[in-house]
Amino acid sequence: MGEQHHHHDHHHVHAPIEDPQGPIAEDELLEIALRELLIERGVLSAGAVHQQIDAMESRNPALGARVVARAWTDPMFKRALLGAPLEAIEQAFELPMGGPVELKVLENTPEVHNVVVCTLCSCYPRMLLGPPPAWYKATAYRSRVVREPRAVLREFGLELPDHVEVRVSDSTADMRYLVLPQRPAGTEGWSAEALAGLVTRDCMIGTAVPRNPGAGGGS
Amino acid sequence: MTSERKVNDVGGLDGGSIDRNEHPQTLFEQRVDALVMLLIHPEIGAFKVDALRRMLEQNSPEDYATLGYYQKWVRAVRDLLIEQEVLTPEEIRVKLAEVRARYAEGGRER
Repeated sequence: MGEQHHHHDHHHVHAPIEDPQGPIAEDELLEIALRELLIERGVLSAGAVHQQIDAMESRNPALGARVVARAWTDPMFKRALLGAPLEAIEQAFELPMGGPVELKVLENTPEVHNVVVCTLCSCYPRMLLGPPPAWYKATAYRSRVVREPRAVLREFGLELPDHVEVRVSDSTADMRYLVLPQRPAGTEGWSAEALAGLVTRDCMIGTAVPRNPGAGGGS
Repeated sequence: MTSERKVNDVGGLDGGSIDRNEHPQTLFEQRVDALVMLLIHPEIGAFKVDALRRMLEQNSPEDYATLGYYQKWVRAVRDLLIEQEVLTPEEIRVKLAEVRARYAEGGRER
C-alpha cells in the first residue's frame, strides 16, 4: 500500500496533506464497512471479493497477447474473432467472457491504425487485458487523443506515416474495443507463443505497435 | 458546445502531457475494483456501470480533479447502494464507526 512510503508523524497539529492519488484511511475504512455490510446482508458471499481479485489477476495483457498471436497464426480463428470476438475467445481459450459487455476487435492494416480511449471514464477491455493503466484513466489522455491522436501517439514513441489513417474509438459501458495489431515483418514461421511475446498491452490499446527485435530497427 | 459539459466529459479539451507512470494496484484499489465488478455483474445487479458513471459525473470539479480514482469509486458505490436501497445511510454510519474503532485499536492490520 502507498502508506508504506509515508512516514507521517502520528499527531499533526495541522490538517494532514492528502496524496490525491493514494488511498487514504477514510476511504479504506469506507470500503471495509461497505464490504462487511454487504456480506452481512447476504448481497455478497464472504469469499466472493477474494475470488474476484484472483479472477482479475488472471486477466492481464498476456491473455490478450495470446488472442492476437492466435489470430495471426490461425485464419479461421481470426475470422471468428472479427465476427463474434467474445464467443470466439471463449471457445478457443476456454475462458468465460460473459458479462453485460460487448467487445469489438479493430484490425490494423497498412492503411489504418486504430487507437482506443474512453473519454467519459475508463471503459476498457478488462476481460482480456485486466484493469487499465493509470494514464488511460487520466484526463490528459482522454481529452487529447480524440483531437490530436498523432501528437499523443508520438508521445508514446509511435510515429505513423502520413498516409496511414488514424481511427480513434471511444469506448462505452456497453462496448469495448481491442486493437488487433499488424504482425511484424520477419516473423514468418514463428510459433504463436513467440509471437505473443511481441504483443504488449499498449499494442492492443493502439498506443504502440509490435516490433520484431531481430528486424534491425525497421518497423 | 450546446450544453454544459459534465465534469468527466473531457474528450477534445486541451490537456497537458500524459503522465505514464504506473504502479501495481494496491490492496485497497483491488478491493474497490472487485466490489464494483461484483455489484454490477447481472448475478447481483445492485446497479449498472452507467449508474456508477452517473455518480462519478456528480463530483465537483475540485473532487474530480483531486480525489484518487478508486476514492471516487468507493464513494460512488456508497451513494448507489443508498440510492438503490440496498443499504441505509444509518447502517453505513454505524458500521463505519465500528470499523474505525476496530482499526484505531488494532492498527492497520486487516
